[in-house]
Amino acid sequence: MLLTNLAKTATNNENVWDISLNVLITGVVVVFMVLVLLIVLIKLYSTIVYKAQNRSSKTPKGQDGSNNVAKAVVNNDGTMAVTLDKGLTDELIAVITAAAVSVMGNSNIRVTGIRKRSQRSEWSDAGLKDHVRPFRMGDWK
Amino acid sequence: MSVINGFLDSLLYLFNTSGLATLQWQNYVMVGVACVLLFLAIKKEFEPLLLLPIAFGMLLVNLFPAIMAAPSTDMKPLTEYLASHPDVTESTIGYPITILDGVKYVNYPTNGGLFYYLYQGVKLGIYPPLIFLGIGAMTDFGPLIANPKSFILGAAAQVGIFITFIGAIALGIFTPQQAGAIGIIGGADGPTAIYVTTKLAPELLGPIAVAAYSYMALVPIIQPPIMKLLTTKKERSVVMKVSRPVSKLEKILFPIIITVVIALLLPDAAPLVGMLMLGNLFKESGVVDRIFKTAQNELMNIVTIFLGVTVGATATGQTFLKLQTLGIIALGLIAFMMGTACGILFGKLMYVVTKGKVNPLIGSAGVSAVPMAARVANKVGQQENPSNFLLMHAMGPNVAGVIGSAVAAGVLLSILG
Repeated sequence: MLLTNLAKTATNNENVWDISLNVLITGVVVVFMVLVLLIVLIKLYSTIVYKAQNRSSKTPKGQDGSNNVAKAVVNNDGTMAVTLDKGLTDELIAVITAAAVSVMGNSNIRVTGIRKRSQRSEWSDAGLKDHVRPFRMGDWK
Repeated sequence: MSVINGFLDSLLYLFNTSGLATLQWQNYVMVGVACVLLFLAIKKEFEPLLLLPIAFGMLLVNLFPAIMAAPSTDMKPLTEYLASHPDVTESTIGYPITILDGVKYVNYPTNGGLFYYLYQGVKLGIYPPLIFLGIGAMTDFGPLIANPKSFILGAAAQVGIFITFIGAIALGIFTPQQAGAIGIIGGADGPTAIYVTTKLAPELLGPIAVAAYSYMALVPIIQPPIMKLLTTKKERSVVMKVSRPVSKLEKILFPIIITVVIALLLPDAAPLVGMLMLGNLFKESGVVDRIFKTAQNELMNIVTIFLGVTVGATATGQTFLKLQTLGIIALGLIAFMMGTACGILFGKLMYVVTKGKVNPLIGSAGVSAVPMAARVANKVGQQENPSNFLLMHAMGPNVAGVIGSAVAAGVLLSILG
């Protein structure tokens, strides 16, 4: 109703400044209100979904019933001995093993442990930086 | 002798109908402008996917204005028409016949120029929502769902739109509708700017589209000085906590909920937001792989070509080279800078409220321009701390900015449309 009234006022073009201030106030208020409403809705349904999913799927268990989790290292002699630690699933072990095979180019390796590094390596940093590079500075001559 | 005269007459006719005789100085200036834009698109890679077709459309329409000409009806004396079409009789002619001063004329339609027909997709508001469909298919709303507070930053960056609207009114040379179309440049969202302009001020489409895409291309140059000016070194160095993972169900529900809310509250924004969310649902549902790929690749590319060349073709010398255009370009820059500044200032507010957990730089990404604005926020953050990766955190406000600018567009259309 408010918008319709404003629209009518706009077409009459009687008081441009009144209309302008109306647009400013209405615009800012409506944009914020709608987006705040979206925040509330997303928070609400995210919480519901998160709780529902956590209830239905507990942390994956290993075959022996204990929690799967990790220590993993690729030995030069190609041995593999996986120690299961917290947070490491069978799928993740498979992915890391596949990545190690791919990087080393040798299928006769064995993963003996998977360890979580506390800090990113320089190579990892370099790769990330390259990936998120905003634009090609070298081209801006 | 008559053969030579006929030859010379033909040459004269060809010259008189060529661009050399019909073009005005404004057209030649615009050819120069188009060449500069082509250079920026090809050599400097300024938004080349859009700037290149826009620039070429501009070039073509200024060399051959008829390519944008609307269809019309020509009148030809009936006897002359029948003489050139021996198989046709007056009863089978198929066109209306008008009698003027006792002479019968055939009213036969002529086709419009190629771009005239392609332009209908812009004029009728078809292309921008289709572009949004493709953007939706390419966008991951995960960072926004993981941290919905980002919506505040997406909203804050839209304040520049409304402040610029006031500025445009203050200049006194724009109507409220034109001022609204100019203000939307601050949303840094090309399709939204085009959509709003075609509805509010179609006569300004050329300058507004060129300004919007130019500023989006210049994000890496325009934003960093504002970001550094408004933040301290300490604020820029903040390392944000890794966002929680978002489940597939949350990602599927997101586009549906957003569509319901926006379509109910702001119907004018529904075409843009609805198509954005449809594209995203294609992506997240995982069950329509073929149309998901089409939306983000083939369809997006085809519409981008049509949109680019026809928007460029609206920038003829006669409409572009006006004092108004300078005003639009200046106000567009102000809108963009204000949007960036408001986003950062709200980012600072969140920094204070969260006791230093939010890096204010991500507020600058609230101005849409996906993903360039997020990448710039990341880059400026890394200048202070090279191991700080803000990209995913900035993507939240960035995609929130797309929704925010569409909401702002809906508000402008509701009030001024």
